[in-house]
Amino acid sequence: MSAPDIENVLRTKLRTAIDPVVPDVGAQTRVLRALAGVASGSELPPEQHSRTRQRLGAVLVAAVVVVLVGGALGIGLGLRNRATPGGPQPGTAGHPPVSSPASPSPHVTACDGNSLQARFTDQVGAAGTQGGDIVLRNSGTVTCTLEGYVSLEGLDNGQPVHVDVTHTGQGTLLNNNNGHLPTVQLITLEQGHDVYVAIQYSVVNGGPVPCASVTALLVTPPYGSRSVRMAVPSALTVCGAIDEAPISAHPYFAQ
Amino acid sequence: MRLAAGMRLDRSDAEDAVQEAALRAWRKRDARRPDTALRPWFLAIVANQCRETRRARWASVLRFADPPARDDVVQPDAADTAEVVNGLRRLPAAVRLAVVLRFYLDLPFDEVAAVSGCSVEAAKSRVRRGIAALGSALRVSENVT
Repeated sequence: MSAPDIENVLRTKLRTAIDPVVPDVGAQTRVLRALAGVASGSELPPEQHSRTRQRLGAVLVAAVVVVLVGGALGIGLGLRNRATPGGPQPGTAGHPPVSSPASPSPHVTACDGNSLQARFTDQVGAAGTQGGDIVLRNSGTVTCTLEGYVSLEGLDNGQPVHVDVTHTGQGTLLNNNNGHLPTVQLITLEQGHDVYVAIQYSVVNGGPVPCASVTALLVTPPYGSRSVRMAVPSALTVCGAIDEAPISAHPYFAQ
Repeated sequence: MRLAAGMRLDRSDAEDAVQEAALRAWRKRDARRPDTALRPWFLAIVANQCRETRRARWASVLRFADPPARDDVVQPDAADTAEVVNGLRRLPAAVRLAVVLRFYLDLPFDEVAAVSGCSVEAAKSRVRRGIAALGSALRVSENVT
């Protein structure tokens, strides 16, 4: 093949391989909302804490990211979805009608790792799986909000260890058999109160990939920039992915 | 998003990387020099974020060898595509970045160089190295076509 032919083949193969994993419009919306949360939160200079300026900041950030993420990379930002009759609106699919983090009340911002303490409840095992609730307590001095899924990263004796994480809906371990699987909702977490993240994972090695030993998890709240480290009472043996439920006001396993 | 997807080859990772990169860009917005073009500036931040996302390399390769049931991880349905993906995973980050920028985002070499933080000649060299490293996959396609 000539050089141009090789380049064209490579272009085609890269598109075939990468296109399926390009985040969708919903992901872009989440990025926008995260940035809007930052703009309206405590990371802005104090002089911008008036309500009007918060909203202005959020709009400006959204506009900048529309240009950066959307325009620069040639990706639409939900307009196609909006044009779909009966299609879900970006950022609201499956969500109860709750206030958006993009426009929170002036004094309530998203919880960050430095204002949370995390602990793991007793593990519950059944049929080759283990599970438990991650309990996040607001140890800060102000009320904050949480919505959606935390990010989880594994540590083994202080060293990062790769673990996949699926969210309920993608995963198969957490199910709704007992009728109270959490759904995504905005939770206002007052000082000293707890929220819960249910996780479940297989402890049976079903493939060539070795199971991971996890002695601690780094838990990053949605829209948070800091993690909270959560040691586990005894090392978790994680085979495959950890299946994670949305943040809930109620424990999943203790009920 | 497309750059992050090409670098991380995982939808969740790519979304995380872009979110972190966007936050970085927001925080660094005042540090951007007026003569720096917006697109390469932001793409460079995304690329740096992708590089800094620490992953166990062996786990990524093995994970691909045993395709999981997730829909956000590359699961090519053709052997030659799988070879390209595995080849991408094995490329040094700088070479992979150059290949993705050039052949997936279709950027000109001067922008590839700007995003990569190197000269145009170095960008071309990295792209050549990438093509050479992916040669076996391309030979598969040569047999196919």
